[in-house]
Amino acid sequence: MIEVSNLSKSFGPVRALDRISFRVEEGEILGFLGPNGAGKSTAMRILTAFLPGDSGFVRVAGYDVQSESIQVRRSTGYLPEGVPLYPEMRVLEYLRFRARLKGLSRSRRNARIARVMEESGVERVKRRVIGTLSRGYRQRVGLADALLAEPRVLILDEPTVGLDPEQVRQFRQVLRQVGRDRTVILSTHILSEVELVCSRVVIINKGRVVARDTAANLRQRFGSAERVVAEVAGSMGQIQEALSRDPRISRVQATKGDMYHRFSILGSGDDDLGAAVFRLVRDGGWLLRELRQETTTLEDVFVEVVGRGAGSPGASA
Amino acid sequence: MTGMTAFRNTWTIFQREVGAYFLSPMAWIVIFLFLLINGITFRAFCHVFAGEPRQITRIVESVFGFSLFWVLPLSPILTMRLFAEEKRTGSMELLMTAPVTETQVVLGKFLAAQKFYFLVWLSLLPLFIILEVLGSVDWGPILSTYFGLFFLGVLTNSLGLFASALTRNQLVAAILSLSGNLMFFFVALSTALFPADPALKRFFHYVSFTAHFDTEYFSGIIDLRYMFFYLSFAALFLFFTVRVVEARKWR
Repeated sequence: MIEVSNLSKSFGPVRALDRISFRVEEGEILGFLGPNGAGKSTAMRILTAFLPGDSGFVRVAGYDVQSESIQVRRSTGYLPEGVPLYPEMRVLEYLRFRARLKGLSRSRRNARIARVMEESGVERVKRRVIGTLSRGYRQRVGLADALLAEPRVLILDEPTVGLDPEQVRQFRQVLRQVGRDRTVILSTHILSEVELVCSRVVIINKGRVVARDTAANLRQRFGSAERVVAEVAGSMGQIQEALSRDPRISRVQATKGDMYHRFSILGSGDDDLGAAVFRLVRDGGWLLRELRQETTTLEDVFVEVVGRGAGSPGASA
Repeated sequence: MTGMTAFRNTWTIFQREVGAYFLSPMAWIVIFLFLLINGITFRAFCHVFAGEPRQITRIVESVFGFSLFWVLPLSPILTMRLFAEEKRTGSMELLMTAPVTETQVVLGKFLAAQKFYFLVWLSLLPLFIILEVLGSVDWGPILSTYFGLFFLGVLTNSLGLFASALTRNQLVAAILSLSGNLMFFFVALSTALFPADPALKRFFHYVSFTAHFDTEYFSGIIDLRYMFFYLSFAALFLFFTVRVVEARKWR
């Protein structure tokens, strides 16, 4: 549905995108991840035919963004970063304007407007002036606009920036619903968002794709060594010493408590770290209250992948 | 893209922009001040010319002659927002990712500015109707002056739109187009600089946009050659505007 191959883009001396390639299959929700300034917005502007790339090619919904830009724009719904809507217009008025601009026929217009207002939950504010709406509602109006022409592809640039946690949760729900029969690219630097809604992830840093896989696979691939958190009662110094001495454990971080101390333990290999810690505590005759295995989050993957890219440029491309 | 779609898109942009004028307080402030100041000067002229020969004609001429000063700031004020604001807020991105072409957007915005500009001038009509009630007005010169103002607006509005496309700062856009208007205005004065050279003098007279008001429109004369001059400059500015809007694609 979306095919990006060897896309590069420079702004003067600054290389915003450096030969990035990725594909999005029909019906997928792709998380487009990267720190601020990684080139996410530039990539999305090229995908929506707002800016041209310098080299490489991009096809969206079967059309070339450069030579068939009008068709690309017809089949794409776009929510730019910051949701720049006309503040002086009322919600309904704005959606009517956009529906006409997108070439919806008179007969289809009203039905579609009613439908997207329901889908995005803006029915309640349809007579309000956009400038007086909260950030969350403006975001939804932007989404309603993006959905108007029943696009096969939805491109959302940082759609949850500036929303409070409850609004983020609601937005995610809406997104899951509208993403059911659409191809979606969602850019963000909030990782939990990607884990919750995206089937696949592309991570870019400094204009390059540094990782490209499903969230689960990435977690596995980049999951650093196992980590276990244990709460143990006894002499903190003795416990820490016993743990540190074990060859299966590479690092121990202790936090003193009233009675139970908290140890964050990093393993050195693939061994069953939890069992090893349990045995050590039993042998020392200490009291164990909690033993918990921590799984690698996408956050860890992200920090690792992006950090590595920064440490040795080009190594991960 | 068929001609029908092109027309519909232009019309959609036009309608939104006309709506945007009336939704912003600026439009109402402009019309209010325009009417207030013209009303005061109208009253003053009525007093000055009272009892003199050809008094009604002289009042009409003075009202128009005076309001020519409005031409300089009017278009810059009406056009400064059109592209600069879209660029500043980023709504340009939403606009240009809709299936519309740059030309359609430029034309729609230009026509909206043109419509509002002309509405401002039409708001003077009640003054002339008052004169008609009190005496008898010669409508010929009024009509030809309106004609001239309309085509003058084609020129200044396209210039203003071009200036607005160049920047994301409305004030900069206004200053640019005001300077452009002033240049055309001063060209009229430069006819005095070349009294000996009839060709240059004629040229400057031709391209000056105020000279025609004294010599032709106020006398009820419409010279189509000048219309051609306004239209060709406007076409040039609109073409430049389309190019500037497209320019984001060149880098």
